[in-house]
Amino acid sequence: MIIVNTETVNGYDIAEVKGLVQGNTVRAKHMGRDIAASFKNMVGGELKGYTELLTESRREALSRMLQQAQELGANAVVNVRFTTSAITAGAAEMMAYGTAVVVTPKLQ
Amino acid sequence: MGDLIGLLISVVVILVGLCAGKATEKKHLASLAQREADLADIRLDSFKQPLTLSAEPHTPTLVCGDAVIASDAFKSWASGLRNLFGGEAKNFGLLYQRSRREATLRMLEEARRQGFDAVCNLRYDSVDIGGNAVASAKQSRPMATCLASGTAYKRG
Repeated sequence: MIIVNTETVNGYDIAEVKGLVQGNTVRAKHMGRDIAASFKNMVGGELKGYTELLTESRREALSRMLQQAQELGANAVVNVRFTTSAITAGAAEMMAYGTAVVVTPKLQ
Repeated sequence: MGDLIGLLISVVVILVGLCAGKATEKKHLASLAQREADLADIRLDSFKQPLTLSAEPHTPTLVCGDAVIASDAFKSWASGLRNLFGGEAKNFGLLYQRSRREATLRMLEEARRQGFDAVCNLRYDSVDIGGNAVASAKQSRPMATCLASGTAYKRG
Protein backbone atom coordinates (compact mmCIF):
# COMPACT_ATOMS: atom_id res chain seq x y z
CA MET A 1 0.00 0.00 0.00
CA ILE A 2 1.37 3.39 -1.03
CA ILE A 3 0.71 6.21 1.39
CA VAL A 4 1.65 9.88 0.81
CA ASN A 5 0.48 13.31 1.91
CA THR A 6 0.85 14.82 -1.57
CA GLU A 7 -2.18 15.07 -3.86
CA THR A 8 -0.81 12.55 -6.34
CA VAL A 9 1.84 9.85 -6.18
CA ASN A 10 4.79 10.95 -8.27
CA GLY A 11 5.71 8.42 -10.92
CA TYR A 12 2.19 6.99 -10.89
CA ASP A 13 -1.15 7.84 -12.52
CA ILE A 14 -4.38 7.82 -10.56
CA ALA A 15 -6.61 5.34 -12.41
CA GLU A 16 -9.57 5.36 -10.05
CA VAL A 17 -10.74 7.25 -6.98
CA LYS A 18 -12.27 4.99 -4.33
CA GLY A 19 -13.26 7.69 -1.85
CA LEU A 20 -12.45 9.01 1.60
CA VAL A 21 -10.94 6.67 4.18
CA GLN A 22 -10.24 7.36 7.81
CA GLY A 23 -8.96 5.70 10.92
CA ASN A 24 -9.16 6.86 14.49
CA THR A 25 -8.12 5.76 17.94
CA VAL A 26 -8.77 7.18 21.38
CA ARG A 27 -5.88 6.68 23.76
CA ALA A 28 -5.88 7.22 27.48
CA LYS A 29 -2.69 7.95 29.37
CA HIS A 30 -1.91 5.72 32.33
CA MET A 31 -0.83 6.57 35.84
CA GLY A 32 2.78 5.43 35.52
CA ARG A 33 3.33 7.75 32.60
CA ASP A 34 1.54 10.51 34.42
CA ILE A 35 3.78 10.25 37.48
CA ALA A 36 6.90 10.28 35.30
CA ALA A 37 5.45 13.28 33.47
CA SER A 38 4.83 15.21 36.66
CA PHE A 39 8.50 14.80 37.56
CA LYS A 40 9.60 15.83 34.06
CA ASN A 41 7.41 18.90 34.36
CA MET A 42 9.67 20.03 37.17
CA VAL A 43 13.05 19.62 35.45
CA GLY A 44 12.02 19.94 31.81
CA GLY A 45 12.99 17.69 28.91
CA GLU A 46 11.24 15.22 26.67
CA LEU A 47 8.18 13.36 27.96
CA LYS A 48 9.22 10.04 26.43
CA GLY A 49 6.12 8.19 27.65
CA TYR A 50 3.89 10.75 25.94
CA THR A 51 5.95 10.69 22.76
CA GLU A 52 5.49 6.90 22.68
CA LEU A 53 1.77 7.33 23.24
CA LEU A 54 1.64 9.74 20.31
CA THR A 55 3.66 7.43 18.03
CA GLU A 56 1.50 4.43 18.93
CA SER A 57 -1.77 6.25 18.32
CA ARG A 58 -0.53 7.69 15.02
CA ARG A 59 0.45 4.20 13.81
CA GLU A 60 -2.86 2.73 14.95
CA ALA A 61 -4.89 5.47 13.22
CA LEU A 62 -2.88 5.01 10.00
CA SER A 63 -3.26 1.23 10.05
CA ARG A 64 -7.02 1.48 10.52
CA MET A 65 -7.16 3.93 7.62
CA LEU A 66 -5.13 1.52 5.46
CA GLN A 67 -7.46 -1.33 6.37
CA GLN A 68 -10.43 0.69 5.08
CA ALA A 69 -8.53 1.46 1.90
CA GLN A 70 -7.77 -2.23 1.43
CA GLU A 71 -11.44 -3.12 1.85
CA LEU A 72 -12.28 -0.62 -0.90
CA GLY A 73 -9.76 -2.31 -3.19
CA ALA A 74 -7.39 0.66 -3.33
CA ASN A 75 -3.61 0.34 -3.57
CA ALA A 76 -2.74 3.86 -2.36
CA VAL A 77 -3.96 6.60 -0.05
CA VAL A 78 -3.15 10.17 -1.05
CA ASN A 79 -3.35 13.55 0.71
CA VAL A 80 -3.19 12.03 4.19
CA ARG A 81 -3.87 14.41 7.10
CA PHE A 82 -3.83 14.05 10.87
CA THR A 83 -6.03 15.70 13.42
CA THR A 84 -6.47 15.28 17.16
CA SER A 85 -9.14 16.32 19.59
CA ALA A 86 -9.52 16.14 23.34
CA ILE A 87 -12.36 13.95 24.55
CA THR A 88 -12.04 14.36 28.30
CA ALA A 89 -9.25 14.99 30.78
CA GLY A 90 -7.32 11.73 30.38
CA ALA A 91 -8.03 10.72 26.79
CA ALA A 92 -7.52 12.18 23.34
CA GLU A 93 -8.42 11.12 19.83
CA MET A 94 -5.97 10.78 16.97
CA MET A 95 -7.45 10.60 13.52
CA ALA A 96 -5.85 10.02 10.13
CA TYR A 97 -7.75 10.55 6.89
CA GLY A 98 -7.05 10.59 3.19
CA THR A 99 -8.36 9.62 -0.21
CA ALA A 100 -8.13 5.99 -1.30
CA VAL A 101 -7.14 5.60 -4.94
CA VAL A 102 -5.94 3.00 -7.41
CA VAL A 103 -2.64 4.01 -9.00
CA THR A 104 -0.71 2.54 -11.91
CA PRO A 105 2.97 3.18 -12.67
CA LYS A 106 3.41 5.94 -15.26
CA LEU A 107 4.41 4.75 -18.70
CA GLN A 108 7.80 6.20 -19.62
CA MET B 1 4.39 27.29 59.91
CA GLY B 2 2.77 24.90 57.42
CA ASP B 3 2.34 27.75 54.94
CA LEU B 4 5.98 28.71 55.31
CA ILE B 5 7.14 25.16 54.59
CA GLY B 6 4.82 25.04 51.58
CA LEU B 7 6.26 28.30 50.27
CA LEU B 8 9.80 27.05 50.84
CA ILE B 9 9.09 23.85 48.90
CA SER B 10 7.65 25.89 46.01
CA VAL B 11 10.72 28.11 45.92
CA VAL B 12 13.03 25.07 45.91
CA VAL B 13 11.00 23.40 43.13
CA ILE B 14 11.15 26.57 41.02
CA LEU B 15 14.91 26.91 41.60
CA VAL B 16 15.49 23.25 40.70
CA GLY B 17 13.35 23.84 37.62
CA LEU B 18 15.42 26.87 36.68
CA CYS B 19 18.78 25.07 36.95
CA ALA B 20 17.74 21.65 35.60
CA GLY B 21 15.52 23.21 32.92
CA LYS B 22 18.31 25.45 31.61
CA ALA B 23 20.76 22.51 31.54
CA THR B 24 18.28 20.25 29.70
CA GLU B 25 17.47 23.01 27.24
CA LYS B 26 21.12 23.72 26.48
CA LYS B 27 21.84 20.03 25.94
CA HIS B 28 18.80 19.64 23.72
CA LEU B 29 19.63 22.69 21.59
CA ALA B 30 23.20 21.41 21.10
CA SER B 31 21.91 17.96 20.09
CA LEU B 32 19.40 19.56 17.69
CA ALA B 33 22.09 21.69 16.02
CA GLN B 34 24.38 18.66 15.64
CA ARG B 35 21.71 16.40 14.12
CA GLU B 36 20.40 19.18 11.87
CA ALA B 37 23.92 19.60 10.47
CA ASP B 38 24.11 15.82 9.87
CA LEU B 39 20.81 15.81 8.00
CA ALA B 40 21.31 19.09 6.11
CA ASP B 41 21.78 17.24 2.81
CA ILE B 42 18.17 16.04 2.85
CA ARG B 43 16.04 18.53 0.92
CA LEU B 44 13.07 19.65 2.98
CA ASP B 45 10.30 21.97 1.80
CA SER B 46 6.56 22.55 2.09
CA PHE B 47 5.82 22.46 -1.66
CA LYS B 48 2.87 20.28 -2.56
CA GLN B 49 4.87 18.25 -5.04
CA PRO B 50 8.52 17.21 -5.38
CA LEU B 51 10.48 19.92 -7.23
CA THR B 52 12.57 17.40 -9.13
CA LEU B 53 12.27 13.64 -9.08
CA SER B 54 14.97 11.06 -9.54
CA ALA B 55 14.79 9.19 -12.84
CA GLU B 56 15.25 5.98 -10.89
CA PRO B 57 11.74 4.48 -10.41
CA HIS B 58 10.75 4.55 -6.76
CA THR B 59 7.66 5.01 -4.65
CA PRO B 60 7.33 8.15 -2.51
CA THR B 61 6.09 7.46 0.98
CA LEU B 62 4.70 9.21 4.04
CA VAL B 63 7.20 9.85 6.85
CA CYS B 64 6.33 11.17 10.32
CA GLY B 65 8.06 12.29 13.48
CA ASP B 66 6.68 13.04 16.93
CA ALA B 67 8.01 14.91 19.95
CA VAL B 68 6.60 15.95 23.30
CA ILE B 69 8.71 18.38 25.30
CA ALA B 70 7.80 19.27 28.86
CA SER B 71 8.02 22.69 30.41
CA ASP B 72 10.01 22.96 33.67
CA ALA B 73 8.83 24.34 37.00
CA PHE B 74 10.50 27.70 36.42
CA LYS B 75 9.00 28.25 32.96
CA SER B 76 5.56 27.27 34.22
CA TRP B 77 5.86 29.65 37.17
CA ALA B 78 7.14 32.46 34.94
CA SER B 79 4.22 31.96 32.58
CA GLY B 80 1.89 32.42 35.56
CA LEU B 81 3.56 35.76 36.20
CA ARG B 82 3.33 36.59 32.50
CA ASN B 83 -0.43 36.15 32.72
CA LEU B 84 -0.59 39.17 35.04
CA PHE B 85 0.55 41.50 32.27
CA GLY B 86 0.02 39.52 29.08
CA GLY B 87 2.42 39.79 26.17
CA GLU B 88 4.70 37.31 24.49
CA ALA B 89 5.70 34.22 26.48
CA LYS B 90 9.16 33.71 24.94
CA ASN B 91 9.93 30.71 27.15
CA PHE B 92 7.03 28.73 25.77
CA GLY B 93 7.80 29.91 22.24
CA LEU B 94 11.22 28.34 22.56
CA LEU B 95 9.67 25.17 23.98
CA TYR B 96 7.49 24.82 20.87
CA GLN B 97 10.48 25.45 18.62
CA ARG B 98 12.35 22.65 20.34
CA SER B 99 9.49 20.19 19.89
CA ARG B 100 9.10 21.14 16.19
CA ARG B 101 12.80 20.79 15.47
CA GLU B 102 12.89 17.45 17.29
CA ALA B 103 9.85 16.11 15.41
CA THR B 104 11.28 17.35 12.09
CA LEU B 105 14.60 15.60 12.78
CA ARG B 106 12.86 12.33 13.62
CA MET B 107 10.91 12.59 10.39
CA LEU B 108 14.11 13.23 8.40
CA GLU B 109 15.87 10.35 10.18
CA GLU B 110 12.98 8.10 9.17
CA ALA B 111 13.31 9.29 5.55
CA ARG B 112 17.05 8.58 5.57
CA ARG B 113 16.53 5.13 7.11
CA GLN B 114 14.27 4.29 4.17
CA GLY B 115 16.84 5.54 1.66
CA PHE B 116 15.22 8.82 0.60
CA ASP B 117 17.04 12.14 0.22
CA ALA B 118 14.19 14.66 0.09
CA VAL B 119 10.90 15.42 1.83
CA CYS B 120 8.14 17.66 0.47
CA ASN B 121 4.72 18.82 1.66
CA LEU B 122 5.89 19.22 5.24
CA ARG B 123 3.01 19.63 7.71
CA TYR B 124 3.06 20.37 11.40
CA ASP B 125 0.26 19.43 13.74
CA SER B 126 0.06 20.38 17.36
CA VAL B 127 -1.60 17.39 18.98
CA ASP B 128 -3.49 16.73 22.17
CA ILE B 129 -2.21 13.94 24.39
CA GLY B 130 -4.30 12.35 27.08
CA GLY B 131 -6.89 15.13 26.98
CA ASN B 132 -4.37 17.70 28.20
CA ALA B 133 -6.25 20.49 26.42
CA VAL B 134 -9.38 20.02 28.52
CA ALA B 135 -7.76 19.02 31.81
CA SER B 136 -8.19 21.28 34.80
CA ALA B 137 -5.38 23.74 35.59
CA LYS B 138 -4.13 21.39 38.29
CA GLN B 139 -4.13 18.27 36.11
CA SER B 140 -2.91 19.78 32.87
CA ARG B 141 0.79 19.57 32.03
CA PRO B 142 2.46 22.45 30.25
CA MET B 143 4.05 20.70 27.28
CA ALA B 144 4.76 21.34 23.63
CA THR B 145 3.65 18.58 21.27
CA CYS B 146 4.39 18.27 17.59
CA LEU B 147 3.60 15.78 14.85
CA ALA B 148 5.56 16.47 11.66
CA SER B 149 4.63 14.67 8.45
CA GLY B 150 5.75 14.84 4.85
CA THR B 151 6.24 12.81 1.70
CA ALA B 152 9.72 11.37 1.23
CA TYR B 153 11.13 10.86 -2.26
CA LYS B 154 14.41 10.65 -4.16
CA ARG B 155 15.35 13.96 -5.72
CA GLY B 156 17.96 12.58 -8.13
